[in-house]
Amino acid sequence: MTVRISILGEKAAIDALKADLVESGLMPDADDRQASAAEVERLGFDIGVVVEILGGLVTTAKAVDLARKFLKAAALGRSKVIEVKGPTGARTIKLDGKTEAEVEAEILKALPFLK
Amino acid sequence: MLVQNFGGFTPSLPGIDIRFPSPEHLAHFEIAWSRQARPPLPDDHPDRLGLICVGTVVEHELRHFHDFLLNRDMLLTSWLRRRMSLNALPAIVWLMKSEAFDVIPYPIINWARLPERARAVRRAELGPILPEDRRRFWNPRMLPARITAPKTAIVDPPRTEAEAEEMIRTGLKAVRGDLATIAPLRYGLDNTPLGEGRFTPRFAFELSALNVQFHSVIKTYGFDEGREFLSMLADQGTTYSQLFIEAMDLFTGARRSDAARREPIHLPRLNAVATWIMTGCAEDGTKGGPATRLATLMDQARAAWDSVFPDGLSSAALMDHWDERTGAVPFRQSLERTQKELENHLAAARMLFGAFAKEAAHQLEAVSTYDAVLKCRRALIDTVIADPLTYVDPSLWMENLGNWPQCPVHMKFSAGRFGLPRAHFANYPDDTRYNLSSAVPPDYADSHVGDAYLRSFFPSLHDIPSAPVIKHQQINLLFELLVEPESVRPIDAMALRDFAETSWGKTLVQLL
Repeated sequence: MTVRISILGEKAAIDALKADLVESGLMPDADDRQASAAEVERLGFDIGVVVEILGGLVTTAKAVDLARKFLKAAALGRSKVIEVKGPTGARTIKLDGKTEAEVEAEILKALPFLK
Repeated sequence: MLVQNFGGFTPSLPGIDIRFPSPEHLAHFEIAWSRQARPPLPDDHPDRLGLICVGTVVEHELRHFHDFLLNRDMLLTSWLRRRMSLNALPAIVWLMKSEAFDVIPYPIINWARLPERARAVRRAELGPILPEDRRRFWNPRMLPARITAPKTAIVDPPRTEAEAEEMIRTGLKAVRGDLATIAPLRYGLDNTPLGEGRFTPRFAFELSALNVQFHSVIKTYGFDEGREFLSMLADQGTTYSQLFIEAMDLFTGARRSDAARREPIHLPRLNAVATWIMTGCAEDGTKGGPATRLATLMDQARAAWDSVFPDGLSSAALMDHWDERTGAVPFRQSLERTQKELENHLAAARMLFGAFAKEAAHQLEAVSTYDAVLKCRRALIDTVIADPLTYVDPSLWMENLGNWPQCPVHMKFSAGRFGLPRAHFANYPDDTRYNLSSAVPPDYADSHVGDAYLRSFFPSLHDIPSAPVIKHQQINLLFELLVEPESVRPIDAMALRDFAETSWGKTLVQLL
């Protein structure tokens, strides 16, 4: 079973994250697109070129695995900010200087169905 | 990344936000704001650039407000968004209070457009992550793909479920019509030669505000600090500030290293560009948009500098030259035409809602706010038309900012969990309002301030009343979440979800 989620971030990080999510099978149908005008207005200041991943996340995914992937992808980008949205939660996660456990806790706030 | 993001301008209010990370930043800001002395700026201060930014944030944000008044696309978008929220409000109130369902999927228009089969798929996906006893989804009659925006006012509260259904349908049609009108005004250009990504109008607005802020840094602190500011924008800045540096290099004919070598940079051309890109009108079509105009001038300046910037032209003459060159309506006429266009919008709304003056008090209040906006615009364009240089040249524009129109200012203090002591605000204007949206616990609210709402930075003959702006700010966020959630910050979305759950027992679920 999957639930559609959205992940927004800087292009370099998002490209890497999308490939990782698809390859690992956590988001088999991941698609990406340029952020909407409203998202660019809101996030462009902090993130730069904003790209969004949209797709169904398998509900058996572990938040800690996602956290690891977020941190790995962010290392490739200039911006260390990622925004995660699920149907019932949303979180802007500043990854700079955060541990896996801290990022995992943030992800669980955005995607409580992973509990 | 640039961390000195102290301010923001919200066109849909309209109003300015200023955020202070520490009491020291506030103290520095207050000295700069008072215009009585050069704020102290130690060479070895750990956040020297942050202080420079906060000390000049007034000019940056006020320029956004003035460009908002000047620019047709931004002002029209702001009015249409307000009209959307007025049309959506009765439907939103009914949705929240209805006992026929527990779950409201949003964006509500996207949900209403889905056929039953597609809704069933989404319910099957979302149901398992919701509590078992709270899976009754709002299920409106499907909104057709093609609609005609209604021409009647939506003001009466519904008396029956059938009336409510019809009211929601009419409201959603109106909102959808306005969303379609707004889209091209906000969209900008895709993947231009200026860079990958979407080149939205915000690039143009930030260019203008950063140009003014750069002038303000020089005026407030000095030339060395001006160079520091530019270096920061070039090295640590955002996409917007990097575009500004690129435009400065291009339009001034200078290279970035010139700044470091203490060579003068010729700024008047950049100043003229920053103003001209704001002056398009409806008759200009897409070439009137600020992002399109900026991209066009940058392309043309790269290809044929001398034809874009002939020698010996004043700023106003340059603007006339670009109007002629691009086939645009001459800027003075263009500013007048936009005024007329917006006055017509307000007259139509006043007539529509005026027929139900009692029921439509809230709607008429919004029209009054925009009457004030257009009065501010009238004052501003009268000056620009009579003597463009007073606006084009940031040094002249800054000479007495109180002569220009003003808007409400929301100052937010995140220093310490409990804000700042009330005594600090003893000299603030009497009509300042405190703790409207801060997290200061009730026990501390009498003695501490987490946020302060000012009528304006400076007293002025032309300003926007703050009370309706404050009121709208609170309603606006819920409207934005349900209609255009991508414009809402996650932290606000979470707070609104909690509020809907605790106040109305409604679970708000985002469709992605």
